Amino acid sequence: MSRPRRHQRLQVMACRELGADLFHLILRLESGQGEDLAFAAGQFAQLAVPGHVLPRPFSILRSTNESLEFLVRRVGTGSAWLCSRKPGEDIPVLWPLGNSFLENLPPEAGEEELLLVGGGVGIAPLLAFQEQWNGEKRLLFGHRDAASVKACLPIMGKAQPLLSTEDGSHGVHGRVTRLLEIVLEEEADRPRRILCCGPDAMMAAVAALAKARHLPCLLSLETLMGCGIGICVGCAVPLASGQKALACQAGPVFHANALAESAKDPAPPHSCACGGRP
Amino acid sequence: MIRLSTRFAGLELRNPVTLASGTCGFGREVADLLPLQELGGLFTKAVTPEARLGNAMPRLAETGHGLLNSIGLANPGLDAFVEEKLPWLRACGTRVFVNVAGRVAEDYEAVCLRLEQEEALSPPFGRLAGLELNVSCPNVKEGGISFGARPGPMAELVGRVRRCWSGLLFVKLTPQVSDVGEMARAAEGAGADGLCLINTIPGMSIDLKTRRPRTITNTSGYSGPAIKPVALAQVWQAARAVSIPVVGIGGIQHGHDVVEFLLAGAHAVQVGTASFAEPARARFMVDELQEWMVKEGVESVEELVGAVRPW
Repeated sequence: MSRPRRHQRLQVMACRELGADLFHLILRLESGQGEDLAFAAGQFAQLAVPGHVLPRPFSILRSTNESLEFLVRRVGTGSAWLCSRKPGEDIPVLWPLGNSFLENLPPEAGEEELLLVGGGVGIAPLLAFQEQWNGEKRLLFGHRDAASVKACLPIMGKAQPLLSTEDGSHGVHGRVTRLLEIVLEEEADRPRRILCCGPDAMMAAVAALAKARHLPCLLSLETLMGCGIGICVGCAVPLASGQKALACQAGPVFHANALAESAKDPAPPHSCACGGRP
Repeated sequence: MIRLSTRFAGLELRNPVTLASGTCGFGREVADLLPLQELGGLFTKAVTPEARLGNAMPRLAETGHGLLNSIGLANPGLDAFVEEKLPWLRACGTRVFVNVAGRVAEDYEAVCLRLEQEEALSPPFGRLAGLELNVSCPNVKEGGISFGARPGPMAELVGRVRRCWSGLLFVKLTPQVSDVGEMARAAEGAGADGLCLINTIPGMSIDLKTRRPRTITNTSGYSGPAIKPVALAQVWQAARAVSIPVVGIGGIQHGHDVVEFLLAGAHAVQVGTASFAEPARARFMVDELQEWMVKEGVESVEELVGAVRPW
C-alpha cells in the first residue's frame, strides 16, 4: 500500500486562484515513473516554505502521470507564499506521507454505501478517494456560501456531490450534518459507512451522529503537524485507549471510535486546516 | 585531500555532523530519507525508565524564526527501547548516542545500568558510541532542568551515573544559567567525557484571538535559527572553560553554521529543528562543509576546532 517516501523539488505547473481564498496548486512530476507515482487517498504531502521552520501539510487531491495536485487555503504567511507561486518555480515536497482511507476499510466496505462527508479544504482527500474507490459512494460537501461552492467547481472532476450551504444558496440549507441526517433517513437499514474530513467542529458533529446511529466512521484529522514523519512528535492525538498516536504516522485517518473524545473537540488555537499555519 | 573526520574523547566520527536528540526519533523514522551511515552520528530521543506519553497538544508553535516545543519527553520507555529500538540502532551504520532522561537520579541510574548490561552482551561492532545525559529539558515539571540549573546537583547526578556506565558520557547543558563555564566545569569534574550544548531556551508565544499561550505548557523550549547566536556564545564559553570536548547545538541549518560552531570550539555539531523542514538537511550540510573547506583551502575539520580569533 505505502509507496516509498521521497523528498524532491517539484516545479509549479499552475497555481490557480479559485476564489474564497482557495487555490488549486499543480506540481509537475517527471513522467515515465509509472505506478510509482501513485498515492492512496488520504495520504498527504509536506510542502516546504522558505523562512519557515516547519513545512505545511496538504492532503493530496489528485496525481496523474505528470502532476501532483493540491487544494490550498490561504490562511497565513506560509500558505500565502505557496498560493503566490508562478509556473516554473520550485517547491520542495516530501510525499506521500501518512495512512489512507483505503487501508482502514474492511472487506465488507465493498458491500456498503460509503458516505464521503467533507467541508472546507477537507474535500480534497475525499475527492481523491472517490476517484480511487469503485464501490457505492456518495459525496456530501458542506459549504459556507455560494462563493465557496463556485470556487470548488474546477477541481470537482467527475464528482457530483450533494451540497449543503449555510447561506441556503445551494442544496440543503444548513450545515453538512443536516444533509447527512437527510441522507441517512433514506433507506435507514442500508449498510453504510462514513468517511469524513473537514474542520474539527464539523468532524466532531459527524462523529457524534455516526456514533448515535452505530455507523462506522473514519476521520481524517486536520491536526497541527510539524515534520509529518514522526520525528518532532508534535501531533500526538489522544486515543480512547488512553494512549497517544502520531497523526502523521498512525493517521491522519483514524476510526472515530478509536479517538478519545478530546481528540474530536473543536481544535485548540492554530490547529491547521490541512496546511494553514499563520 | 579533505579530511572531514573528527576525533574526540577517544572516538572518531566520519564527519562532525550528527542528528540532535528529539529530532530524529530512534533513527529508523528517517532512515529511508537520509543515509545515516554518511553522517557523523545520531543522538536518540530521550529514554526514561517508564514509557511517557508526553504533554497534551498543542505541543508545537512556529514563530518567526524558530519553533517552540513542549513535547514532554514522550518515549516508549527503557524496556521497549532495548527490545524494539536498540537492535536496529546497533546495525544502522552510524555512531549512536542514547539520550537519557529522568525525574530523579534513580531514573538516570536505572537507564544507564541497564544499557551497561546490554552493552556487555553486544558484539564490539554494534556498541553504542556513548550516552548523552539530558539534565536540561525545560518541558517537564520534575527532573531534567532541576539537575542542570546548578553545579551541585549536576555534579552529584553525573557522579552517580558515572558509576553505572563505563562508556563515554556526554552531558547536555541548558543555556538557562548565569555562567555556563561553571556548569561545564562541574560536569567535567564529576567525570563527564564531553558536553553537548545548548538545549532549547524557554520561550512563549500568545494567540491574540484566544489570549492563550500557543503551547500547552504556556512556556516551552525554543529552537531553530533564532537561537544560533546564543548557542554559539555558550559553546565558546564552555569550550574555553574545560578540556573535555564540546558538541555544539542550536539553530544549525547550513554548512557555514557548522564551520562557525567548529571555530567556536565544538568538535562536532547536532542538527535539530532544520531536519523538520528537510529530513536530509544534515546530510547536505556535510557537502556544504566540504565545499567550503575546498574553497577556503582548509584540509582538515580538526584545524577548525577552536580556531576563532577572538578580539
